[in-house]
Amino acid sequence: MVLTFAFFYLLSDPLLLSLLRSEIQTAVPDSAHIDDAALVSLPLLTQVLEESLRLGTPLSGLPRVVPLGGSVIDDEMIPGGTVVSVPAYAQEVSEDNW
Amino acid sequence: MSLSVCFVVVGVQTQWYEWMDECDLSQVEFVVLTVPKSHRYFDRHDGKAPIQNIVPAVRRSGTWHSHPVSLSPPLTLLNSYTHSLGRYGCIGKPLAMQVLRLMLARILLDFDMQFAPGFVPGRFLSSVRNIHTTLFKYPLLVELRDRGSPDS
Repeated sequence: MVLTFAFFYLLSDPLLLSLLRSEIQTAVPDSAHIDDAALVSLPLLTQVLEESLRLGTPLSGLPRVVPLGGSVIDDEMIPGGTVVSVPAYAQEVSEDNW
Repeated sequence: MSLSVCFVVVGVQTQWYEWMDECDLSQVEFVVLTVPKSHRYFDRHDGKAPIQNIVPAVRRSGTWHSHPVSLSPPLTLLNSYTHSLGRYGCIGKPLAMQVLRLMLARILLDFDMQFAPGFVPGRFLSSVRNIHTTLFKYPLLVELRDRGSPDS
């Protein structure tokens, strides 16, 4: 899912694809001997994947349980023991956030 | 102990807090397909406008929205929300990210790629049903060419 979105947006933007390939080629000249540590330090590669993960998140979000006694979330009192969650896709594409 | 599941549909949130008080252990969830299409959050009800604005926005800014340096802390947190942060964050995300780095790097180093002939990019995004569906109604079709072999 993440790679699907990564390829789609990279192919939609040839300049970005070129920049990313150049960054990778500079750090890893030989594809048969890829250094894990070298890839971690590549900022554009990480950005592309983080952005693709945002747009192609393969899960709805991680639920959390409200502690005993309840808790106030966004000015609303939520009872203790309640499992709360926020829809990942909604917050990831909300115009309020991005 | 009872376990109740409360689906909170945007716009139909009547008396749900009162209803939850009757449960020993409630589960609250939002309907994923409803919220992104709600007029409360998006001008367009199909929820597609934000996605389609991403590429032009990236091009304008010269970077991706999730740039770890240029983003303000709140936006960095938002981008990490899905997998959470800190001691209770997703333990598998670092490994998954490294696997993705390896796969993407290997493919870009070994292959030139382009959309397959006849593939219509606009149809791809409009066919995305939801974030849980990995089978798309209009799948992404890509043509790969081995960079080391001009004939392949």
